[in-house]
Amino acid sequence: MANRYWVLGGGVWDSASTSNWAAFSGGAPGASVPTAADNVFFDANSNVGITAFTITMAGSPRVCNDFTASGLDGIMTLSGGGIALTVSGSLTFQATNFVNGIGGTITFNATSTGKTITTNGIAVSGSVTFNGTGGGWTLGSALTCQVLTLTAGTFSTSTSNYAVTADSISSSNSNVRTLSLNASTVTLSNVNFPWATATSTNLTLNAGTSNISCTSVAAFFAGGGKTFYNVSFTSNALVALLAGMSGANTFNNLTIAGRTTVGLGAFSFSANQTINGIFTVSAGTASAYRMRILSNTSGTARTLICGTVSLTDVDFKDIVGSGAAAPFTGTRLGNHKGNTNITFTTAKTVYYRQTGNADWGATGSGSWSSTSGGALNATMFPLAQDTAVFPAATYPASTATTTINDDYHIGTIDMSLRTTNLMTLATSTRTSIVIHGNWTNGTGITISGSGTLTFGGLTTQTITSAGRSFTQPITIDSVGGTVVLASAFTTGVTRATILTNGTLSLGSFVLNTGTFSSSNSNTRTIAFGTGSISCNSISGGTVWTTNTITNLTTTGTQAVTINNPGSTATSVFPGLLSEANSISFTFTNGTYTLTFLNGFTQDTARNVLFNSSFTGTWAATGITTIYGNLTLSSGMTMTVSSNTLTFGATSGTKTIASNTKTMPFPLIFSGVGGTWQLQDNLTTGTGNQVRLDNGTLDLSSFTLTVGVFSSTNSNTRTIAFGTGNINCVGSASCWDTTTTTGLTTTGTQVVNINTSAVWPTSVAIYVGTLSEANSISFNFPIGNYSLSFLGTVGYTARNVNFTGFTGTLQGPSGTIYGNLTLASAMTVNYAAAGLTFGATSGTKTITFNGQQLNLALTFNGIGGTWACQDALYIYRTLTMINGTLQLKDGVTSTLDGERFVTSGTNLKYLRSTSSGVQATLSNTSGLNTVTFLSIQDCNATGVAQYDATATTNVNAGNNSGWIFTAGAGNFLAFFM
Amino acid sequence: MVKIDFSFPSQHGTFSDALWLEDDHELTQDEINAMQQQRFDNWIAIVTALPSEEA
Repeated sequence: MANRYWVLGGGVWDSASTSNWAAFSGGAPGASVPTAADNVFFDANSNVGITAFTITMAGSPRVCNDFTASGLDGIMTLSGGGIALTVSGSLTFQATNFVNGIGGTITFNATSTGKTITTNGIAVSGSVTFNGTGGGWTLGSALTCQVLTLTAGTFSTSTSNYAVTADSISSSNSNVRTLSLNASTVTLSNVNFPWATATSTNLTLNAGTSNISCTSVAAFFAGGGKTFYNVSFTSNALVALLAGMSGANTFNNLTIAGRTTVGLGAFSFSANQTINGIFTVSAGTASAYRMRILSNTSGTARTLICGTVSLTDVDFKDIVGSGAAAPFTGTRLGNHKGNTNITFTTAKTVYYRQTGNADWGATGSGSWSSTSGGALNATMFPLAQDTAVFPAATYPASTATTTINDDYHIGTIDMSLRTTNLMTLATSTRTSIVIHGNWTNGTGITISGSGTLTFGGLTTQTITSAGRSFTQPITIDSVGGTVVLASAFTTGVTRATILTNGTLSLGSFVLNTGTFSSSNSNTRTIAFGTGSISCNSISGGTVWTTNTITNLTTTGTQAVTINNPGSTATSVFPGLLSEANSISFTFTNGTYTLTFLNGFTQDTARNVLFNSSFTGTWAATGITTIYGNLTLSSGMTMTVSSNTLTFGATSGTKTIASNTKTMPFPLIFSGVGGTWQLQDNLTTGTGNQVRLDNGTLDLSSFTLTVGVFSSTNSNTRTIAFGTGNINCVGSASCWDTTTTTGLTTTGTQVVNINTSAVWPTSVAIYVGTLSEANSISFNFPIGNYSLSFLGTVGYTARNVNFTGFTGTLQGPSGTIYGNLTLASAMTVNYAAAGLTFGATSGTKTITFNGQQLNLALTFNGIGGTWACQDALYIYRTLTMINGTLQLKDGVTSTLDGERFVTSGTNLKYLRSTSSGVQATLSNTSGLNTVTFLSIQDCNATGVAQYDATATTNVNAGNNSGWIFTAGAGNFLAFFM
Repeated sequence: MVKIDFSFPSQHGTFSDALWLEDDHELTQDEINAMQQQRFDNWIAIVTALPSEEA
């Protein structure tokens, strides 16, 4: 450790220059630059004579042990802009002849105690930091600086209670440190955080009997849960959302100054506080000068445990009064709800009393009276629990304007008496006006203003518009409360209505707004009643969002109208509402591109109606569900999407009207108990699937054109064809009812397979095992492809018509309950099981069109009749089990290489299609032995023998070639 | 050096400070009082400077 004395007047104190350092006062220069271990002195021998001199610091930081400026006989200026100074010992400034011009931080880093800081009336223009583990510093005089930071060590304002005046005091860390304030006056002016000890771990705060004053309008006190003595917030204009306090702190007295200007200040608490002495919220100059004390979190109360309170012109929200002072009482206390143990001024009715243009909150005697037309009375400013009445006339005078000139919390506003005597109620640009009661317009009032009106009374509040329009954005933020419309409500087309908390009840009225939003997790209800919400924004953008539907309930007839005649892109985000809560949307007009049900959150909707005046574009939909009806506009444009739209109603009949528009996306019908009825032909894109999972799809009399139709599950479901049909146009497999459990079909069940597949593409039609009653007719009117149809034993179809089909039917093995028409140009491949005709009633036609089938045919339907329209030619067995087979009269039907077989003990019938005219049956070989067969009009020919000798057979007449009597005719047995 | 503690009570709290003077200072009591008053006046000027109102 050495002493270094400055000599020779002006110079530079940097890390290299030795020009001004001496080893003793007035000594020769050339001594080494001071280190952190060296004491530096500035005295009478530092200058030349008594001249003023400047020492310029450079090379941050400059270091020393003790810094002493004492005995100067000329003005010494220490300059250096942002240069920092690190002092490892004590610091002493001279009261006179010393100018401190350094703006950098002075850091005290001693690691031992006993250091003193004596600025002697000289302000430190920069910040001061104490950071030395084990270090101890005590003020030797009052200190003025920017930020005073205690990082480590012990700092004391001295038992002489020297004042500290700073921007802020900060000590937010976990180091071991002690801050002793003794009985000092501490004045902090930082705009935002005058006191910052939020992380108070290992901080010992000895508040003594100190007084801390925070002077900023936005002072936020982060107390860290420490114990203070007296703390005051002295600004007369504390700003809402900024001024406040965190940490569960303890005070002797806590004082918040009142306002000296009209308006509403605010101070919030982020935690409970204990005030052992007096909690004072000072009166403003008048009752229109108010202070709001609230919790920082709406709905979460903060407890103030107070020994005594002194409260005047204070509003409370979410505050619990506790301690010896509870219940809190005061003068003109306003109830902003959520409070406990606070005795509020009894609700009263006050009357507006200004004549000309004036403010809601005015100076002097104010704007209100206790009686209509009575004297102005400054104490009659309406509190949040009061009713503010505008008399029928005079107050104000006709055409005058009353301006709500701050973010007051207002109880009930009653302007109902203002009918012919016009007036304007203006809210200007105020953004935080809160209404706690009812709002009643008179027919003669005009409302103006652009700031948000919030209804936040936490009770039932009624809005009676009386035909008068609002101009403000509207917010409903009323936990547990309800805002009720008593008449139609209108605000501007550029305005938003936001439901943040609580219930919006429309009754039977329309709420007209620009946009509507309710997207959060708070408990909210939109009680539509028989009313509706109309979003009338013409600016596009998001006009409706209930995207976050957590805790959102809707009731009544949930109807929303989107009324935008313009062309600017518009979005509607309903959210993933349940069926019960889903909302109907009507798009009345416009040429815009609409983003709706785009699958952002798998949105849902109830009824979706595009009026004919909507000629815009519905952008690609996402995975979404419609629980109601869907009506498209013939003039709109649909956008292709690969995402599925599900019709999910679980009750009632929902209608689908496409108005000639193709729905270019997959569809699913899936609602247990739901029915969807086409109102016109419905077409989906060629590659799209329509799937029936649950419920009833009612085609009515219309055509459903799909890429693929699928309904293969075990759910209860119905395809009600009515007189309509399904048209499958996919390029590959386009029908799948493989699992038919639970599937019912009604009406005239017709499916047309109009696939665009071409050879050698394979197309599979999985029909499943439908009963005769539920079986479906299939038409194959076009195409040349490989068809797998009725390829599984047990698969069924009603009528099957291949007219126009030129492809190949791979070996069919199923059952046909209706007619069969083969095409002359098609190919039918072999299948071992062959086809079965199973009708149990009526006459079914079979048209072979020249096809020679390598298929066994079986006729097995009790009560069924099959009339061949032309010659039958098969290479396999013809088996009759039940029913009547009519071979074509006048032509020869051929069994080439196989036999005519009967089975079973029911009588079946072999006939001609024309009674009395023989049909010829030719069998090229074999012995055809029949039983339980009634034969009529049949000419049996060919090499084969026709043995009908069994007594169970019946010769019904006009037969030839059949042997009915044993021994008659040439009967040769061939043993093969 | 000589230390002279002084205090001024005010509506903004009690301002306590200390004057440190050279042992051989030749200031009169009036001059000392003036220096103390100046310290207090400087402090009052700081604590009463109106803070700007936040938007």
